[in-house]
Amino acid sequence: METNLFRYVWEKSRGEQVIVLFIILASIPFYWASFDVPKRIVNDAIQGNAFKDGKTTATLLDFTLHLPSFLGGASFKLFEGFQVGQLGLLLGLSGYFLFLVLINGAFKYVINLRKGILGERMLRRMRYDLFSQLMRFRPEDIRAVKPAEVASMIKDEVEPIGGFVGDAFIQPVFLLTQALTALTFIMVQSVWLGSIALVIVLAQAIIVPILRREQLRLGRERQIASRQLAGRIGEIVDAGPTIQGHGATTYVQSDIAGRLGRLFDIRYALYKRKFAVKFLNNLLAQITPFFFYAVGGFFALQGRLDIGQLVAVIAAYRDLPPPIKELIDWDQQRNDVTIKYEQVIAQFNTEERVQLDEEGGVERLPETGEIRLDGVQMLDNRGQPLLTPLSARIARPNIVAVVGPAGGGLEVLGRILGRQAMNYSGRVMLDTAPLARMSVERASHLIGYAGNETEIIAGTIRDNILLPLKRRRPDIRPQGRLSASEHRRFVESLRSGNTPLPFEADWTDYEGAGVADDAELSQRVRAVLDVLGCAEDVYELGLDGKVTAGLRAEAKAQIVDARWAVAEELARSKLTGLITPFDPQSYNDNATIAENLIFGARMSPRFANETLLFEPYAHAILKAESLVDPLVEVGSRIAATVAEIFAGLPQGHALFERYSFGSGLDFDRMGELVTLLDKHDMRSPLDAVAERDLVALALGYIEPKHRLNLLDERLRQRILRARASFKTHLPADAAEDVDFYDPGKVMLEASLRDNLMFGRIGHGIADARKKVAMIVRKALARAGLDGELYRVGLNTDCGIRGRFLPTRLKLAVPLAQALIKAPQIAILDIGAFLATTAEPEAVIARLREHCAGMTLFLLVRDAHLVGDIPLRIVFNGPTAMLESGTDEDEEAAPPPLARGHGSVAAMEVRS
Amino acid sequence: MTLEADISCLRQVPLFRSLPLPRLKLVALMGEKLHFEPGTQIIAEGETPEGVFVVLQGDLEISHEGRQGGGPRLPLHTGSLVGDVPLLSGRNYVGAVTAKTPVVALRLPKDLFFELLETIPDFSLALTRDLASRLYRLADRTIHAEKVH
Repeated sequence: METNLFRYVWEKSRGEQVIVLFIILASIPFYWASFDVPKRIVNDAIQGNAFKDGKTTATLLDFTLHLPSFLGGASFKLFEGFQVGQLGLLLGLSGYFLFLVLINGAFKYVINLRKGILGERMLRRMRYDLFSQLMRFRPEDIRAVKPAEVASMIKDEVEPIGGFVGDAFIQPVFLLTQALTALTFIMVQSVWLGSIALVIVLAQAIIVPILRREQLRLGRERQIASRQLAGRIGEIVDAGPTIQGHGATTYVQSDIAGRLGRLFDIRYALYKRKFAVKFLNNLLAQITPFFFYAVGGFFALQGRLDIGQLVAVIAAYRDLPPPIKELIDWDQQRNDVTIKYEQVIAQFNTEERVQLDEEGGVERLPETGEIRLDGVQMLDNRGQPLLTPLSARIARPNIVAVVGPAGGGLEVLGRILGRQAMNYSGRVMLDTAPLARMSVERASHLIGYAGNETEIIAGTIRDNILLPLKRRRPDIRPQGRLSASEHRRFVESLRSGNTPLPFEADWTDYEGAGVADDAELSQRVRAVLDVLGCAEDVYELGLDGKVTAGLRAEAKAQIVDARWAVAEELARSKLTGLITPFDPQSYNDNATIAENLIFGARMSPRFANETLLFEPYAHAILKAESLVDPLVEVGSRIAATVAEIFAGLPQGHALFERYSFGSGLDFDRMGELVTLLDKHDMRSPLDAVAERDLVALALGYIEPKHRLNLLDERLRQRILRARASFKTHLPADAAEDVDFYDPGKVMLEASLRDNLMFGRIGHGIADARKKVAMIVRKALARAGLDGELYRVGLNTDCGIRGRFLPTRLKLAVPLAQALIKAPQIAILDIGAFLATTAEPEAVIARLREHCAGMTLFLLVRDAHLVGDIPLRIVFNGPTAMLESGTDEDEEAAPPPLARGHGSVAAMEVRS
Repeated sequence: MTLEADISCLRQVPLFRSLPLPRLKLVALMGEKLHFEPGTQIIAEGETPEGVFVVLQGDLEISHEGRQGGGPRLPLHTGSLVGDVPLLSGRNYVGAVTAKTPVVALRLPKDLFFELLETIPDFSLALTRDLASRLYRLADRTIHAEKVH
C-alpha cells in the first residue's frame, strides 16, 4: 500500500476532491458579499449616507455588469433596481444579508456533507485495503499477528485517519479562502487595521504550533500506551482461567493499575498543555478587538475611517480567528494522522507477500508429473532446525506415507507441502512451478491440506466442510432488475474500492468439486464423510438434536410420520420388547412412576419429583385417587432396601449414585427416613416432609430396573386413573409447565431420538441403545427420511471453535475440507483422527481408494498403519529419510515402487 | 423374576456364595438383568470386554471357529461367570459366547465391576478365591492330562 497518506488520498479520491474544491471557489463571492453588506447597512441605511444630498430614495438591488478594462471597460445595467426610502433600504439590505447568511450556510452544509461522505468512503476503502493486505500475508505471518492488535488497528486506529481524509485537501483550501477573504476585506477597509490583524494572526500561526509540538508528542505516547494496555488486557483475558487458578489475580491487577497510572500521567500532562495553549490562543484572538476599538476608533474620530467600515471590520474579524484556529488544528491533525497512518501501514506492508488471484483461471497440473523437493529446510527463530535439508523426487500420482513422532519435522513438512509455511529455504517444485510462488487461488485448487490443528469457524458442519469450495466468483451481472438499494450498494462498494461481489450469492464451486448441482454436492459431502467413516456420527448428531418449539410445522409433521415408521419397524423386528411406547391407555413399565403419572415432558421445575407432593394441584390429584399412602409405602420399601444394601459401606459411595431414583436424596437422608419409619407407629400420621421425600423416592421407581416387586396391577390402574384426571383438570396456569405425550404431536425440548422412539427403552435387553439406534435408522431409511436425518446432523451448529461437536467429527472436518475440493495433492495429517476410530486400517484403505489419481501424503505417527505403503518419508526428529520399498516383515511384499502410473496400479491391485 | 429369585440364583454362583445378604442384594440390584433367546450370540470373538456376565439361568457355549469350522467348544452352565478373566487381564475374548437355551444373565458393567472390587472387600476376596480355584482346576487338569499321555 502507498506509504504516503496524501498521495494515497489524492490517488484514490482525486475526482471528488476537485469537485469540492470548485464548490469552495464558487462560495467565495457570496462570502465576500456577506462582509460587504453590513457596511452598507450601517453607512447607507442607518447613518443615512445614501440620502445625504437631499435624495429621498435610494436604489436597491440594481445589478450592473462591468466589463474589465481590457475589454473596453463598458458596463451594462442589467437591472434597474427598486427605489426605496431609508426604512425600506434598511429592511431590504438586512433581508439581503439574511439571504447571504443562508447561502453561506448552504455552502457550508454541502461542503461538509461531501467531505464527510468522502471521508467515510476513504475509511471504508482503507479498512478493506488493510484487510486485503492481511489476506496477502504469508500463512505463518498471519499466524504471528496478534488478533486483538490487528482488529484494533483496522477498526479503531484507522478511524481518525478516515475522518481526516475528507479534510486532507479541502479543509486547508476552505479555511484559507475564508481567512484570506476576511483579511483582504479588512485590508481593503483599512491597511492599518489589516496589518494589525495580520501580525496577530501570524503570531498565532507561529507560536501555537510550537507550543503544540509537546502536546503531539504526549498524544503519540498516549496512543502507544493505550494500545499496549489493550494488548495486555487481551493477553490476560486469554490466560484468565489459568491466572485465576494460580491465584495471580492481584499480581496481574497491580500490573494493570501501573499501566493505568502511566496513562493517567500522560493524560494529565496533556491536559495541562492543552489548556495552556487554549488560553494563549483565546488571549491572542481577543486582544485584536482591543486594537480595533482603540486604533479603529481613533481613525474614526479623525475621520479616516467611517463607522460603517469599523463595524464591518470588527464583524469581519469575528470570522478570522476560527479559520486560523482550525487551520492550526488541521496542521496538528495532519501531523498526528500521518504518523498514525505510517505506523499502521508499516504493520501491514510486509516484504513477503503472496499473490491472491490467478489471472486467466486456474490451470490444473497434468495428470502425471513430479513433486520435487530441493534441499527444503526450515529453521526456527533461534536457528535450530525444524526440518533438516530434505531432497526428494516423488512421481505423481503417488501415495506417500510420512511417518514420525508427534511434534517433529513431520508436521513441518506437512505445513510446507500444504503451503501453510513459506519461510523455508530450498525449493518445492510441482512439475515446473515453484510452490512458493504459486498464487493462493491456484495453490488452493491444487492442494488439500489438513493439519493437526482444527480450526472450525462459526456455522454448521456443512458450512465448515464446504468452506474450501467457496471460491467461485459469483456473477456480477444482475439477474433481472436490480432494486434501488442493491444498485446503490453496488455503486458504493465500487466507489470505495471494495469488492462488489455480494456475500449472500452462491459462491460454491460445483465444477471444481466435480458435481453439477447442490443435490450432487450433498452426495459428495456424504461420500467424503463415508470415506472417513463418519456417517454414523452425523446420524447420531442428528438424533441428538433437540426438537424445539420454533420448528417448522411441516418438520414437526415429518417427525410424527417418522415416529410411526419407527413403530412399524419395531413391530416388524422381533425385538418388540425393545421399546415400550407411550400409550395413553396403558401403564409404561419401563418408565418411572412419575412419567406414568404426569405422562408428559415437564417443562419447568413445578412438577419435579422432589417436591411433587407439596405442589397443590398434584397433591389434590394424588389425594383424590388415594395414591399418597401407596406411594409412601413404595418409598418406604425403597428406603429400607437402599439402607440395607448400603449399610456399612463408606459414606458418599459411588455405587449409591448409581442406584438412584432420580430423587436427589442423599444417603444420610435415606438413613434418617428409615429410622423414622422404624419408630413410627401406624396411629399417628407421618411427618409431611418425610412423606414428601418418600413419595419422591417412589416416583423414580421403575419395576424392571429396580426389581423390588412393588407395583401390583391395582396400583398401576390407580396411577392410570390419576394420569387421566391430572390431564383433564390441569389448571390453565400450568399449561406451560407440562407438555403431554401425544402420539400425534412432537415432544418439545426432547431429542429427536426420544421423539422417534416415543417410549422408553426396555430394561433387560442387551445393547438396547445400539439396537434402538439401528431400528430408528432402518425405519427412517424405509420412510425415505434418512437423508433428512443426515441433513439435520450436518446442519448441527458447531459452536465456538467447534465445541458442540464430538471430538471425532471435529477432527474429521479439516480432512473433509481437504478432500471435498478434489485437490490433486492431498496432505492429510490423520494421526489424531485415526486414534478416535476403531478401524484405522479400513479408513486408510478407503482414503487410498478415494484419492486414486491424486498424490496423497498421509501423515501418521504409527508406522504400522501404513506398513503397506512402499514410499515413505520417515522422520527422526527434524531429519527425514526417504524410503521406498516395504518392511521386511511384510507378508507378500509388493514390488518396489514403480514411478508414475505403476504405483497406482499396484495400489489398486492391493486394495 | 423378582429380586428374591435373582438372589437365590446368585447364591448358586460360587463367587457370590460367601457374600453376606445385603451385599448380594446390592450386586443383584446394581447389575443389569438381560434375557437372551437360544442361539443369540452374546459376545463375539475378539470383542473387547465391557463387563462381566453372571449366568443366572441357562446354558452357554464358548466356541472358537477354526479355519475349517468346528473348533473347540466349551459349555458353560448356570452360575458361571463370563468375561472376568479377559476384563482383569485386559485382553479380548478368545472365543464367541452363544446362548444354547434361553438365558438370563446379570451384566455387571466394567466400571461397576471394578467399583465393586475396590469398595467391597468381601467381593474382591470372593473373586480372588473363585479365580484361584479355577486356576487350580486348570493346573490340575493340565498336569493330570499330561500324566495320562
